[in-house]
Amino acid sequence: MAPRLTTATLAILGAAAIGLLSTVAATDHTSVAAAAGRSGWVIPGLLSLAALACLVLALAIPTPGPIVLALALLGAAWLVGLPNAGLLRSLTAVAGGWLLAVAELAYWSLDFRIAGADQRTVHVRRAVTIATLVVASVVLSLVPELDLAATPTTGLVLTAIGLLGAAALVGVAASLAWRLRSAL
Amino acid sequence: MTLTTSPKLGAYAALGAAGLLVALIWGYPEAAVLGLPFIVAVLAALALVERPQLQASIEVDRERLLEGDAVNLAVTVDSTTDVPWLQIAWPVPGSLVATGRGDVLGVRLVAGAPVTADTVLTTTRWGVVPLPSPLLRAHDGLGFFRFEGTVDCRKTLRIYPRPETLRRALSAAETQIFSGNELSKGRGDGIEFADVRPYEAGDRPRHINWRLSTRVGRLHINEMHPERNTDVVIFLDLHSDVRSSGEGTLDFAVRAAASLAEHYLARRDRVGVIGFGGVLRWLLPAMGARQIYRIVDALIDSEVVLSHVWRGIEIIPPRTLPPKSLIVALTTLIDERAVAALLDLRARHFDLAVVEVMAEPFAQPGSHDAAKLAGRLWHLDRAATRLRYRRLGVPIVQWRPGEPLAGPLAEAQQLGRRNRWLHA
Repeated sequence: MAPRLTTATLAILGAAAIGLLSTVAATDHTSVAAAAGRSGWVIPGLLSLAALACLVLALAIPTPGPIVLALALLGAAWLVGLPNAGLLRSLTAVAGGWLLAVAELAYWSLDFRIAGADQRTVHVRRAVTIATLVVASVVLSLVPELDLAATPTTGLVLTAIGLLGAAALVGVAASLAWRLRSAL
Repeated sequence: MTLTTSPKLGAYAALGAAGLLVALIWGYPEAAVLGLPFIVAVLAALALVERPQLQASIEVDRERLLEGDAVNLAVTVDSTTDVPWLQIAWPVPGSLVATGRGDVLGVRLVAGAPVTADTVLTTTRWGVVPLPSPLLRAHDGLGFFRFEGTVDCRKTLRIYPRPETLRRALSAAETQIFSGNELSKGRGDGIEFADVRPYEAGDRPRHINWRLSTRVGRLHINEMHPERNTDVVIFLDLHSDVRSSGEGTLDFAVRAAASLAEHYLARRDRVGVIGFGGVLRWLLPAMGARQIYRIVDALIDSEVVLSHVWRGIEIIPPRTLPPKSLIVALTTLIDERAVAALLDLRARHFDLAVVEVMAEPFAQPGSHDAAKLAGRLWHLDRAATRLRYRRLGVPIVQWRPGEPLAGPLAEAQQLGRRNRWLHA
């Protein structure tokens, strides 16, 4: 199978898997979707279907525009279908990594439009880079995830931590942007 | 090199920001956790990106070649930094086709280990073609940034028309003074017998016809036709070029001109060229091996320059058209200026032959009635133009591009002889 088709198929399968999981999870009565009634699971199901449609469209045309919409819809489906407690809730970091992998595969598939006679090592290396990025991001996301259970939902301390975190993030982004400006 | 960012940079930043916002607004921390991998990816991309320092050089195996020949191009790229994915692309100019492997090559460039990408381009049409500048596109490891640039290449390929071998071409009515391969009408030293006449003081004894002298009892000598050269001027009509499917009348006219020049120069004739179009180009008649290079170098620069200025033959430098020269015109008979100029040359008693490069194969008639009528009118107009030449005793022949030129030339030779006899 052509590399472009392989990566596109993997991206669609990955998106379908997370969409299916969200829909199944929404059958739990503690999920946000369950508030809409007994057929609340339809909401993440429809969101997932819309996301799949966007992804297939983006990969078929091909154009990068609808990919971000597909990812946002899949994220929304996950959040809507997430039960209030249990194993799935603690796997949100993994779901985030999974979404990142889907996104990387989709954009990689689009990159094959401009590819020619490439050396095999180029693509092997990119696959390794994507895998490393996904694993690293999941590990980093697990840190707040593990902390969520122990953290109070309100309070001055939490607000202070949030503000510090936001300031740190802005600082990192600004320093990287400055480095980028001087390096490029 | 120009930096372009992948659309995923903005998409990831937006997804990460959306996750944080949802978490803040609805108090739903899982949204932040879901968006965090995208933020991590963006931060990693920003932290790891580095402008590649590329050095490239181009090698060409030859810069002068004939139509249909292949040229090997190689670009060697080196870098002081690692480039995870470097794409090297060879844009292919219109008159060349890539016959090697794919025109885009993707490699991993390790610092200090140069990579060479080559391609084979085959020429399809004569002309002066600037060598394509290879495009370099370096991607960062995560596919967020692209650096694009070209390797500066100022070399040109000179593609010469592949001449057709002609066994015989048109003969001039008059010869010149230098020795050559054309039989002169005059009498002198030569090997072709002409006549006998009574001996006169000063005649060479070796020319005495002893058999006749013994029979009539008085010395007679043989007279010979000397072999002389001729002056040939190739008149190339550069007013119009009818093109279709990548080929045009000018392509074939230039090939025919090169074939004629090679043939006549091989016979020790003096050959000159006039490119009669929006811009007048000429080459004075000369003989020798060097002249063929001058002529083909001039021919491959031929192009149709649009001009509405009416020009006649008075703008042609006089030395370009020597007396008694044979003018072989290669024209499509489309532009009235070229038609009038050739009629003017005939009126000045130049030995003129017209080879009409047929435009019909390149001009397909339309399907509706008005187009068909226009096509018929056009054909009638062209037939009338041919008739004007024939009435003036100019041998005019039609040459269908792609067919051998020898046939129309033989026909023109016959017509020229007949016309000379009729007008004598």
